Amino acid sequence: MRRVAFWLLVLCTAAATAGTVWFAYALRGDMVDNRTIRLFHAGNEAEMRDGADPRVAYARALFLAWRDRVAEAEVLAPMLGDAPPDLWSGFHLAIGNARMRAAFEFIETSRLEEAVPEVELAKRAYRDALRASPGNYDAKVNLDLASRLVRDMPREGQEGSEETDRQPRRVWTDLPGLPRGEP
Amino acid sequence: MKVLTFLFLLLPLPALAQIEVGVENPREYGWWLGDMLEQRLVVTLPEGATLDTASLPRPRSVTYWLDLVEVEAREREGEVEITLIWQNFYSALEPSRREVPSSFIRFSDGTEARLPGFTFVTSPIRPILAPSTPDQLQPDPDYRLVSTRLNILGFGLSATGLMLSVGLLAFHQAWWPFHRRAARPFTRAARHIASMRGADAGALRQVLHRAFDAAFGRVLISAELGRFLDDRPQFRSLETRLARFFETSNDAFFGRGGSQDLPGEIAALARDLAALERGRR
Repeated sequence: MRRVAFWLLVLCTAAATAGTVWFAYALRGDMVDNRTIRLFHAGNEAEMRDGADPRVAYARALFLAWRDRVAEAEVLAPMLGDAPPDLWSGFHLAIGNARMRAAFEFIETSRLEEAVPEVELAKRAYRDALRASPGNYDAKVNLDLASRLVRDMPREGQEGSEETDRQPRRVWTDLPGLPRGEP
Repeated sequence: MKVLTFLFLLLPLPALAQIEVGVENPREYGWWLGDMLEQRLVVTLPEGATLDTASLPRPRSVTYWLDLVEVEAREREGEVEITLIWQNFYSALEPSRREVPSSFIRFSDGTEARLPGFTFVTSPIRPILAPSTPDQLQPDPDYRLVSTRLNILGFGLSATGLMLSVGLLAFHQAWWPFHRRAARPFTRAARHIASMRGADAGALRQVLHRAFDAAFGRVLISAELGRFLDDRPQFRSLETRLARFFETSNDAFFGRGGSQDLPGEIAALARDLAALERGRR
């Protein structure tokens, strides 16, 4: 009994030590991440550590999108990884907004042929935002707004599929060795 | 002959008629762009046939305003339940009725069944005359901080557990601050002996005898060693060494003092007693 109690206590102490160290390490990582996010929020460039939380990549994407560096923001997508859907949705919304701001600038300077592709890309980003989280109302409103600037047009080749999505019937006369009706 | 051909023409028809499709469509009104519409269909399988899963509609962008997001088929006894989830991207200027196309599925025996489409009314989010200007754009989403709550909780719990188990271990092993525990007389004696460097065997012997007296509750003499071992069976493994120690003590205190043992031997015995007392061996 005494022996069991001794080894049980040793085991408990080892487990609690491991847990404490592990949680302390994770907590320190969280604090570093939060400091980075606050730096981005305050408008400073900051370095992202390896293995950081997806919210850090998200914060950096928001930081870059607001400063019209959309291409740099878009390449951060892989770093979001398995982030929750609302984070993905916000990421796409921020990119869509950046595209829209660029489009409005083109419109103000009457460069419409450059504005149209920007709006199309913004619409695609808003759609991605809604695919990730269908209840993102900001994305709904902005997609509605973008769609009124440049209306959706039926794409070539998809027109037919709007009526019925019928699969092609198998035509038995194409098959060799089958009777072809009357001689 | 003519009648026979006519009959052959009719033959495949009953096979088609057997397939029933039960439909549970989403509600008809009140949809916005981005909303998901879930359509559930229950198709009875033809006799002995299974669903050809390759013939199920695949998730894709069906038209410029409609996505098929998810297709799920669950086969049950004699029927198959198909769930289609669509996403509407039609940006309406006024409430507008949209038609979702139908599609076909095939079974292993070659028969086909039609999954009917449905219609729904999608409505605009903003008034038709609302201006499309930059100030109408909804703002960027907020920054999010990493939630530390779970890690703080885990850290607090494991740190408490660590303090508790270290405390219990110290209590059990009679370490500081529990090193004066009365219930660990041999441990105290072993430490006392270890600190008495250079003392002769007689002094050490007395310290160890005090420990035996404390453990037994009264003065322990060699005749009562058997009863002591019955009370504390964990010391049974040291029986011969204990017997020898008491024998030498009797000789040292009451006899001629011929068979003295070394101080090192007494210290080792005290250490072994202390280890057994704390369950280490």
